Amino acid sequence: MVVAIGFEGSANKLGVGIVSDGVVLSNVRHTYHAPAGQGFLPRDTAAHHRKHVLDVLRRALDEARVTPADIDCVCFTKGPGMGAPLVSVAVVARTVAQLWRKPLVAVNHCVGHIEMGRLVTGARSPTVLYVSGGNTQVIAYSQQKYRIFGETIDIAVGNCLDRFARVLKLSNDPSPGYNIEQLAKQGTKYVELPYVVKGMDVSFSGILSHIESQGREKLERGECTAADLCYSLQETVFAMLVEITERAMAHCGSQEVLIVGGVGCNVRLQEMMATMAEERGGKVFATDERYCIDNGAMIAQAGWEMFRSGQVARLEDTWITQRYRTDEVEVTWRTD
Amino acid sequence: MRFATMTEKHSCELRVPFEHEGEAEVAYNTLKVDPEPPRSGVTKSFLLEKNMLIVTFEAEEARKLRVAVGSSFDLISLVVDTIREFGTTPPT
Repeated sequence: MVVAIGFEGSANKLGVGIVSDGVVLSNVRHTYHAPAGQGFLPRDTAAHHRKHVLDVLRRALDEARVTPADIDCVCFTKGPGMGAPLVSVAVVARTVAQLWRKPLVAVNHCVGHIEMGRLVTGARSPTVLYVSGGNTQVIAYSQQKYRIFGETIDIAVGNCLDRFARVLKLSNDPSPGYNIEQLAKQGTKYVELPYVVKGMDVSFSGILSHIESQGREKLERGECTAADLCYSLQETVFAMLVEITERAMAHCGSQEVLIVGGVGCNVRLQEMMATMAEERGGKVFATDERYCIDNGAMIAQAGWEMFRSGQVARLEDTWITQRYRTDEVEVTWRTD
Repeated sequence: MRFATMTEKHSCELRVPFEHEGEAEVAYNTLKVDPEPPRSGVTKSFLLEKNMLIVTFEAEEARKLRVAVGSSFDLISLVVDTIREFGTTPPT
């Protein structure tokens, strides 16, 4: 039996989770919510993580009913993400690893999402759509790498949604994207927006600028409602994501799509993806908010795989990095 | 703590005493790993003298020095709190 503890804090979610041979023993999360109309800033987010990390760690141990002695490896997010929040959490991981005399495993955040998605859904070798506030990538596995088939060339899709939520002054609790999704359900009129797919890549910054200026004007003139704008934005950006995912599936001959990342809990995105997959005779795998949204268990799960295949980090190599591409990781734990 | 202004460079030295040498070593190993952000314009070095952790900062701009010292303070106290809470292994 191998027990892994995972520390995550690359963005506004702080999480500690414990996984033992594919079983999630605990997965505690504490989220920093910026005031409505504002985004979360690195400084405030890091202060939030420092304030709550020891309590979250204690609860994760208690809920899992394990003692430090039961743990085999201490896993933490090396990157990508915001520097100050990453450091705050990595510092605790490094400290307890020394106190408990356990090896450290440095995990790529994106790989954490993929491995958790595979564990929870049982998808074997899916085409992966990873969509969150900081990342937008279409990924497929080939020869010991998670290869990026397509990605955003500017901002992440979640960032586009979050920033539009700020325009509407929607609450950041539980998340701006969730509140957009709820409001979009009342939308009845489609407001035309730019549709920006460039080969296998997508772009969202122009759509955001457009809806921020034109959308706001339409709203003020009473030509549409805030709900109409949320609906139109979702339909447009999700259609773009489904398009590039379908092309990656066709290229790889894959019948499975796995959606991971915070935007992956959006039910409308899951529906649109399911329609596409069914037309191709394929299947969509998605997880709920426990595992879609950043959490500690996903870092523990990826770390568990890495540890078992011998990927441990020397303490001096555990520096965090804001940029860390998914395809930089050697996937030593897969044999296919 | 000691501040100094030598010619153009500003510097600051933090001396943090720990209860045991072992704890100072844990803090030293933990904190020396992350370099200062490249654009911070601050150089930071760590030294261990028995139970004393010594951190030295140097920067051209006082403002940047202050930011670096402040964030190091935050991380040092986080390590101290972590040791206090999880340092003693419970009897098995």
